[in-house]
Amino acid sequence: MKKIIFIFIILIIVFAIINLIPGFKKGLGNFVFKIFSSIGSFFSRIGQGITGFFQIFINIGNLNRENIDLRQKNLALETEITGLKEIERENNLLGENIEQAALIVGKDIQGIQDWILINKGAKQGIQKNMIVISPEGTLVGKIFETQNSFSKVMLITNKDSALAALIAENRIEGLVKRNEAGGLIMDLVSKTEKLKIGQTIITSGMDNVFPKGILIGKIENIDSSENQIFQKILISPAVDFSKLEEVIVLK
Amino acid sequence: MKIIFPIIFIILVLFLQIGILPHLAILGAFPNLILISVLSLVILRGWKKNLGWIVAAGLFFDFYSSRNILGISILIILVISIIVQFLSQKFFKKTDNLSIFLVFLAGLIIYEIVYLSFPTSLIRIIYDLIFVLPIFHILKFYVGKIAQIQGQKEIF
Repeated sequence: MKKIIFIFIILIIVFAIINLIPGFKKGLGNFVFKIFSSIGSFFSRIGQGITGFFQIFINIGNLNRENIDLRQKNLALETEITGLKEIERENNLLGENIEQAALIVGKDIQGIQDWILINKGAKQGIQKNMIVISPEGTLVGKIFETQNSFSKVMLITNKDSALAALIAENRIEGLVKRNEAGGLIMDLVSKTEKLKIGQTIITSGMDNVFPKGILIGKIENIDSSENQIFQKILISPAVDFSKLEEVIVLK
Repeated sequence: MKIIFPIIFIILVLFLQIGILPHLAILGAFPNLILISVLSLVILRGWKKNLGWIVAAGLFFDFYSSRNILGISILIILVISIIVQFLSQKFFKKTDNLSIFLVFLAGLIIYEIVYLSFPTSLIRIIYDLIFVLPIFHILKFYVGKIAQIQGQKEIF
């Protein structure tokens, strides 16, 4: 027992020193990521290929149904174009920002999947709290840690993430965060507000972190049960985080 | 055998962990083969002989997580390893699959308490348990072979 306590004390002291030495942790992290990012990307690409191959066989039976769904979605998308034009206008405001494209070279390996590792870091001018979007312009998250050549991005599905948002069609404001099941919800929306499934949710800019007008996703489900003060709106994110390979950092 | 097996095993576990299992996630949860492998080795050989693996796995978890303190995962895995070894030696002396299963269940529950994000944690524990026995028996085979080569008495 004494030996175990001794080992623990030694480890705690060592880790405390490591964490307190300025730059040591970042340097070590940069070294580890340099080694494992290429291995991780390689494994991830092979895995994506294998699962994609089997997905084709699984989906064959669903093609007809999928075709009908896609036609319906196409119609819905046409009606949404009007709404999206406004978002486009808002996105044009971002034109003033300098963009930095980056590749995703790592993800959470323990199953939480709420952050990603990108191959651009402090050397490339990346700083904490910079906004990260997908190549299509939809919101991904923000930078929360930087090393010399790598940075960690906190996804909007992270439990610590919360952002001010609004529904594009009727300008209703709320707070977008993760729910207990790991999905994305919009909270703090009054029950008196009339909402529709499929409406577009964008950033409102009220949090002074995320610029206004970046596409977050669409309303997938609305829960306005009597036992809660606000409506809970389940959001279908515009970006599929599991298939994301590249991002853009807004400086 | 002594070197080739660990290399192949590590590559296979990393490939499954990074490349395959994220695509099989249920509600964002997928198994942690690295943790299962480390705990298997702890049950087979004790935590002291596997301190290197515990440190390596813990460092890997720390760098590939959103936690900002380096070393915290090492301490968590070390605590769980000590508890798992204690349980396997004191309460589950039999080497049948049920005992091993229960020891892992206890270890995984303690590990998930740290994260506690219901229902993800519950799904992850169930998912982990599917992989527990195959990984344990693969490593048991390897540890047995090494013990034979070195002329040592097998633990199990």
